[in-house]
Amino acid sequence: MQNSEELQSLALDNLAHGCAEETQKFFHQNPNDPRYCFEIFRRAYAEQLNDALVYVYSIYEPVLTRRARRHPLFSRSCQDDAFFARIALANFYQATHGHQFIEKFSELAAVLKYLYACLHSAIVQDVRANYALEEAELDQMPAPTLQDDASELWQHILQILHEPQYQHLAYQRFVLEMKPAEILRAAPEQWENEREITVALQLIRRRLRNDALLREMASFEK
Amino acid sequence: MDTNSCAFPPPLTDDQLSQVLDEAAEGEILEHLEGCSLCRARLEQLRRFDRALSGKLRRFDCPTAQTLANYSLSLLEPAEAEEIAQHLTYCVRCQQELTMLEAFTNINAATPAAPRSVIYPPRNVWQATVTSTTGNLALRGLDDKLTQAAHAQSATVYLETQKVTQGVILTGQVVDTAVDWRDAIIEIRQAGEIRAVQTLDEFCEFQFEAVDTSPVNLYITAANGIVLAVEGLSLIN
Repeated sequence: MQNSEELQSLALDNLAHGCAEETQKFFHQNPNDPRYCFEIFRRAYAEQLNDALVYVYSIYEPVLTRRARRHPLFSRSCQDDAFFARIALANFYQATHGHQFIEKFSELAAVLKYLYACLHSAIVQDVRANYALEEAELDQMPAPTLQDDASELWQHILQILHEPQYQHLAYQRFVLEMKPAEILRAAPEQWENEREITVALQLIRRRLRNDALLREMASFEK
Repeated sequence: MDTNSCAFPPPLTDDQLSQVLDEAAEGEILEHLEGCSLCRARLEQLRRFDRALSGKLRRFDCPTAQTLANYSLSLLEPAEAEEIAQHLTYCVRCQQELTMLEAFTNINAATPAAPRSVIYPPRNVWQATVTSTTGNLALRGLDDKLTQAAHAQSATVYLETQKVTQGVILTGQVVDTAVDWRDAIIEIRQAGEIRAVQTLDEFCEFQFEAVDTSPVNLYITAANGIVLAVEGLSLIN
C-alpha cells in the first residue's frame, strides 16, 4: 500500500493496473484499496488529463453498463445500457471537472455514489420522457409542453378551483397522475375512503370542463 | 347497433364515467361500457380531456432527476436545496424517485437485473451514416488524405484523416443547427477498445492520433443527453 504522495507520482499505467485489480477485489467482496481508483478519477477530472479519462471510461463504463441493467426502472426505459453509461459519464464530467472535483470528493466511495446517482438520473429522466411521449402518441397530440406554458395553465386551473383541498387533489391527479387508492394512501387523514376522492374528482372535472379555455385546449365539445 | 342511444338506459352518469377514468369503477359500470357504444364514446371524450390536461401538466414543476440526485447528495446551493425540500413535502413522485435513488446509489448493494417489459424505439441515439467526400483527390496525388462526412438528424460530422509517419491523424468537427455540441464528450474506440476520451472544443472540433488504421467508432455525448454514434469509420482509402 502506498501513501497519497506516492500514488500521485505513480505512472498512469501502474495506477490503472492497481485500480483494475482493486475494483475486481471490490466486486468479489474482498478487502481492497480504493485510493488507486480515486487517484485516476482525480487526474481525469481535477487535472483533466485525457489519458486518465480513457482509463476511467475503460474501467467504469462496463461497471455502469452492468449496473444500469439492475436499475428498477431500466425495464421501462427505451435506451440500451451502454447509452445510459455514456450519459452518466458525460453528466458526471460536466458536474465535476476542474476545481469542482476536489470541492465535491475526497474519497472513492463518494465519487462512485455520485456516478451511480448520475446513472440513476439518466434512466429516470428517460422513463419520465417516454411516459409523456407514449401518452401524446395515444392522443396524437403534440409532445410535452414547455414548463412556462404548464405553469401558466396550472395558474389558470387554480383560479377555477378556489378550495385548497380541490387544488391539491387536482395537482395529485393531473400533475402527479395519482389514482384515488394512491391518494388515499398518501393522506388517509384527509379522506374517508376512495369513493370520497372519486366524487371530489368528478366535481373538479366538471368545473374544469366548463371552462372555455380548457375546453379549447383539449378540443373538447361540451 | 344504434350508436346514438344508450344500449342499457339510463346512460352512465358523469360521476360513473369519472370513476372509470380514475380506475375505481365497479363491475356493473364496466359491463355497461362493454355493451354500450354511446357511453363508450362519451368516456373516450372525457378521457381525451383528462389526457390533454395531464399531457400538459405532467410533473411540470418537478426538478430534473439530476437535480434531485444533487439534492440527495447535498450538492446544491442552500436556496435551491430549500426549494427542492419544499417540493418534496407534497410531491410523492419525487419522494419515490429519491427513495429509489438512495437504494440504487448504495455502492455495496446488489440487485438482480430486471427483464424489460416494454420495448420502446431508441430515441436519443443518433446513428450517423458516413459518406465519402474525397472525390478525385487520389487522382491529384493526394491519396494520403481522406475526407468524409457523417450525417444524423440535424448534425453533420466533417471528418478528415491524414497519414503521418506514426499512424493516422483523424480530425473532426460537428456542425449542427439544433443541438449545441460544445463540451460534448467524445469517446473514440478502435477494435472494441477505448482509445481516447476528449471534450469537443468551442468550435466543436476534436483530433485523434491513431496508431493503427482499424475502423473507428465515435460516440459523442451532448449535454442534453443525445448520443451521436459514428460507427465503422475508415481511416484509409
